[in-house]
Amino acid sequence: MAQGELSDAAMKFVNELEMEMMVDMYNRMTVACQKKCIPAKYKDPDLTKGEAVCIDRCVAKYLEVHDRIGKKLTALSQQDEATMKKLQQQAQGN
Amino acid sequence: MSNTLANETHQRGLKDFLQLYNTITEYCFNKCISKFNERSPSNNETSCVDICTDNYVHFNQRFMFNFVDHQERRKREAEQVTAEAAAKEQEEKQKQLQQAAAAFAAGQEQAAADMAAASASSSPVLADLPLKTGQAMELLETLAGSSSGTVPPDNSLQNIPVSLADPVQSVQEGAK
Repeated sequence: MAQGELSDAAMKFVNELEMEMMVDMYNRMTVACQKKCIPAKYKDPDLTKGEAVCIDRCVAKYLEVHDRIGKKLTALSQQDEATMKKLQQQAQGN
Repeated sequence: MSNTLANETHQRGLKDFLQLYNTITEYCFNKCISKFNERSPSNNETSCVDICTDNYVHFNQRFMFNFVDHQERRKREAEQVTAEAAAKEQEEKQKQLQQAAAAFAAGQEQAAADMAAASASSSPVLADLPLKTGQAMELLETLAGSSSGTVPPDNSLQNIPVSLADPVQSVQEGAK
């Protein structure tokens, strides 16, 4: 039962962390797309069609980049873990 | 106890990793994606993102290594400085002790020499003896042993019972 409790607490922590990171990513995306799509000089308070389209595409590209980097980092960390395990095994063997 | 500590470290590591993930995403997006003609990124852009990610990860690793190395070096230098300061203090203390001991020894020798000179001037028989420093010291010790230990003035040596055999009699006879 203790292990179950641990995994519950861990799950809770992971969920909270995911939410926090999601919010952080959202904020960064907002800043990035604003910089890329909205020009410095404002003429109108309303968005032009070009700006609206730009925002759509910006969000799509950002999320795709986010996924791609996520996969790459997971692969890298798995590689790191494998090398660490190998080193540990070698050390234990010696 | 150690389990919770390991757990906390693990959790902090996970949080750091996810933070790094978000930072890389923002950084590489800003560097690589400039045109918004399409919904999905072009081939150039995706290859740029891959290269950017690798680059950033290597940068981060080297950066962290340098930071830790620099901190350790500073710590070692600080420890060296304190150790040198402590060694200097000890050296100075020893010097002072040595100086004090030397001064004390010099003072004693001077007193012995004075005593020898005084005894030689008051008793002619004793003056005939070859009074070197060592013999002067012996004389001083015997005098100190038989007397109350105080240094007497010049001519009153004749009144002190000296424990040397022949010189005693000749001194007393000379005094008479």
